[in-house]
Amino acid sequence: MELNWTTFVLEILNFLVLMWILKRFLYRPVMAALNKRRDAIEQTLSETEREHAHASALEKEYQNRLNDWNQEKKQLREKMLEEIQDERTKRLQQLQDEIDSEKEKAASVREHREVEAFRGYRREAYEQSAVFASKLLSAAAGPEVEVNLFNLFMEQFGRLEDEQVANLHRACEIASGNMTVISAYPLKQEQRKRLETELGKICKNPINVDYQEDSKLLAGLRINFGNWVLGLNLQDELNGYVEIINEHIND
Amino acid sequence: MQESGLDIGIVFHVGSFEITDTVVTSFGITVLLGVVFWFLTRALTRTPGRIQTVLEAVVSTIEDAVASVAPDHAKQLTPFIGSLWIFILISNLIGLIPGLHSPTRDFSATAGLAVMVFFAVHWFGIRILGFKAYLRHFIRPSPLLVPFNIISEISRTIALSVRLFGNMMSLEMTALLILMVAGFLAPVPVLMLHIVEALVQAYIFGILALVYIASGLQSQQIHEQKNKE
Repeated sequence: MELNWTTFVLEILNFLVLMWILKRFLYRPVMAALNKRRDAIEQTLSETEREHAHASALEKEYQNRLNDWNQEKKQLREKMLEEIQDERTKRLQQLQDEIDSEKEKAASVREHREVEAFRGYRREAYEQSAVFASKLLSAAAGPEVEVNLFNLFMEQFGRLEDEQVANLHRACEIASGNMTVISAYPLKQEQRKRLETELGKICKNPINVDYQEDSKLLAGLRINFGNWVLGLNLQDELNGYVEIINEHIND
Repeated sequence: MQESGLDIGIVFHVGSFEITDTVVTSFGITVLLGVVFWFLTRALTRTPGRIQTVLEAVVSTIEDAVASVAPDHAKQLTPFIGSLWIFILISNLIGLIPGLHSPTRDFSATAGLAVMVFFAVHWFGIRILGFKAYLRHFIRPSPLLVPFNIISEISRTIALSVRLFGNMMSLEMTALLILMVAGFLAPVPVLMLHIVEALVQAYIFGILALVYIASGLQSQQIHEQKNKE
């Protein structure tokens, strides 16, 4: 256990040098690497926390935005439903109006058709009645009927009013007394004389009568002078009857 | 004793100065550590490899150990305490290599280290606390204790040097005696004991130095904190 002062001093110097070397080549670089990594980790953690905070803020913002969207969506949906309901009501009302209009039209058309059908039926009935009457009168027509009709004509001719007589007189003058007497059957001499007598009373001038026969008259006679036609025959009556029917049908 | 291997051999002389094998071995350790650590730390990366991981683990462990005793001054004390641990550990273990002797079996070397610790205690105390504030702790709790504090400083320095020297010298002597008596197989357990003893003694020397420095710092800091309260 000797103390060598040279060794003692050199050991101290050696340790100081070693401490400098270790500080220079071990502690400082390793600590620098550790600190650098620690800083990087802390930076990463800081960035992560910042990103996390940012993400949280974004999440909150998006959540709020989502809530707003949902609220807006809900409001829009309610508004849309209201609009749909209004539009539905409006269209239903419009449709109801159209249906009512169509019903009215249909009713009008149906009524028109019914009227038309009624008219058709009536026309057909009139026509049938006319045909029936024509057939009946044709079947019933004959000389006896014509005699009766001639007598009836003469009777009515004698009961003409003054104005009618005056009118016939003027017509007779215009026709210069020329007359045409058409009958279904040949008139007898007696009938012709009686007829000319009555006609002569009205014309007060000599008359010229032309007698013709037309079986279409069925029975009776027709007298033409000027623009006037006097007559009492089944054909004209039937024609008049048909005209009346037609007038009724057109009404 | 020169032939037994326990004596300190003189390798060469520089003038009248004797350069012993202790000095040569210590210088060799210094150069070796410098070259190795320069080589290993010349290209540290952010993503550590195996070697870098080991280096970082060593430095972190040293720093954590220092921080466990002096948490406020770990960065300042780590190079000194770490250098003590590394140098003493390598010095203790290098005796296992045939033909080499542990520098720590030389009292001159352990005395030099203990004196380094002695001065380091005051150096760090003055540097951290200030000259007056640090010296004030010698008169705590009473100025009457100044001589005892000074004796304590000296005695613990001597104890520090003698403890390391005695343990390492006795360990080598024991190994040598067993080798001489029992041949080649019996020293194997002793060599295992040598490794354990080398680790323990390096740790004890370093941790005691740390405790001395920390006690010089904290006793004054605790007193100042009490005054503030």
